[in-house]
Amino acid sequence: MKPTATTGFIAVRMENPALEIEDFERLVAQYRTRVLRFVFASVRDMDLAETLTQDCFWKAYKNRDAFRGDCSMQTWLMKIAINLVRSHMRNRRFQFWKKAERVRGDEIRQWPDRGISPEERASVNERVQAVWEATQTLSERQRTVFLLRYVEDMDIPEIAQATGVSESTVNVHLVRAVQGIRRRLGKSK
Amino acid sequence: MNNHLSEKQFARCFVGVSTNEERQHLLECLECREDLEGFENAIASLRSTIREQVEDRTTHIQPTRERMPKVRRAIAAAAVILLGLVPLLTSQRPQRIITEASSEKNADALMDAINLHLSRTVASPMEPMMSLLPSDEYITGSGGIK
Repeated sequence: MKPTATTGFIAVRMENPALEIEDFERLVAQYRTRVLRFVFASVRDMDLAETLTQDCFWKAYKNRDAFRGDCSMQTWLMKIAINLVRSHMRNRRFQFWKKAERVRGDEIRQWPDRGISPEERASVNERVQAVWEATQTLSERQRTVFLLRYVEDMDIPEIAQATGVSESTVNVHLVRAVQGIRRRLGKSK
Repeated sequence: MNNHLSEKQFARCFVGVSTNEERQHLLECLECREDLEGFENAIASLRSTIREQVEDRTTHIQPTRERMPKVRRAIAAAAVILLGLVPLLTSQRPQRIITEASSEKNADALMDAINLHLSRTVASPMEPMMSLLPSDEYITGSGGIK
């Protein structure tokens, strides 16, 4: 079998434990952006997202023996990230961050939108803010599958593996998430 | 089907689990199609905004790591350690000079200084105050002053 990034990591780890950390660094470099993107989309705070992403890789490193290669490394990491985001949302210790995680309108206006007029930028930013806020009103499961699908571009079988539900359930959550966002957007108009 | 897609039908079309009938309606109904395209654009804007934000953050961090490979990091650490040692080395030098100078002092002069110190009844800072006290000849037997 030709070694992939995932199986290569495990093979290297088994053959030469000294290379383990070096290889794990490569793994972090490869997947960090994806994990950070999902976490940031979920918690809407970059500093917190970075902390949770760091936690995600730390957990992955600690539990590296539990990875059997029955799903892709990305799916495995996403599974850990989903659990971290979930426990963050539930953990009362992080209630303080709830104030910070609300991205204000004036911050959104500063976001980069290259090559468009200021009016168009304002309109796009307003739309982005409305949709992003609408995702926050969804149930945890709906939000997770929605962000994995439309921000992370993961396909349905991958999402099903990462969330531990069937593919048809993922589709049901997606349909409900879209309905929820549309309902919310309709209210905000 | 009504004139337009219901919210559930719309969501099914967006997710990609629509029926043939719903797809057919989309082909025929400009209003529903525009509605769907508008929603797709909104989601695409959200995605690109999030991606830009994360890319901006990660590209700000990564070059710093690349600019500091292991060898350079080691050199920088060594430089910091050396800089930290400089004040320690410089502060030890004058002490050594003082020690050397004091060992060369005349032993007699040192003994004189010690004897003077031992002969004092009170500490040297308090000596000026001693002149304010009355001498023994003015003190009566009962403890009063003549």
